[in-house]
Amino acid sequence: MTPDCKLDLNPETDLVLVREINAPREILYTCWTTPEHLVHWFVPKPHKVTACALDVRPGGKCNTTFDVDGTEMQNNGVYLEVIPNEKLVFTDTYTEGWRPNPEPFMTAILTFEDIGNGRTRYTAVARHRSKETAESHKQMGFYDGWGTVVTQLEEYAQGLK
Amino acid sequence: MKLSDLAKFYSLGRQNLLLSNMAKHDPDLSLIFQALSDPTRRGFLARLGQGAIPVSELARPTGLALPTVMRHLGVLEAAALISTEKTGRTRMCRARPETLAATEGWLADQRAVWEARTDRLEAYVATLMKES
Repeated sequence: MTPDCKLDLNPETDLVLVREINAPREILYTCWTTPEHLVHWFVPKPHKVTACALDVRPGGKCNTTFDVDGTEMQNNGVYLEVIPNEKLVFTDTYTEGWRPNPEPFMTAILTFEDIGNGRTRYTAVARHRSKETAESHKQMGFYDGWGTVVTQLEEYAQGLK
Repeated sequence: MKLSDLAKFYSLGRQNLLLSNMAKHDPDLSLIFQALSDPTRRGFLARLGQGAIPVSELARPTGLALPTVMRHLGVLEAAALISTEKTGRTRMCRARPETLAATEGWLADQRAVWEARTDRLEAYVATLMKES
């Protein structure tokens, strides 16, 4: 059982991903909290992370800017909980200085659990505000239903070659 | 067959989705993506999109050995993209387009984003550890 099984999950708005990864949790945590590392894997190619500013402490900024087909997309948020090498919680509900975001979308809860032999149980929980917000977010263009799935599929397929 | 051609298959699935009320079905996206990453398997899906056929008929135009074909079909079946059923001496193959249709929807999109992101993180970390 992962720590996040304790969470009350709404199947309409929350998703849970659990993966046992063959790497120590310190490295995974570093990849999530260091811009130099994060830019390498955060978005699928050919999209790019063009800016990344992480102030890893509760209330600290968690800002990334993507280039998606020439369109700049800003993803600004704050960390809510930081336990080095164990847990990260961040949201776009607020930005730095606790400024409310007019269009909040989600809270992400990441846990890194040491399962021995240098392996980690990695759990990502994404809790979204509501189905309606999510739908409108989708209409903003980045998550474009079938198109996104196909895009992800292509990226995934290329990665497997 | 291009991946984008799967849209036809998908639209077929949408009808099935409504019919079978499978909206609550939670597809295993990793299995689905892995199954779809192979052009031979996508070819099989495209063929099955036109209707159910026996395995032997599915295999014939590919020129592949039957065990190879069965292995590919096993991957597709594990991802719930197809089903097979033995009737007499023939094994029939049919598409399960509702599985692909279940990958549609905003939450499935989010899951796909997280799954793919975790794949990239895993690959990146493996590279990091190899270098050090």
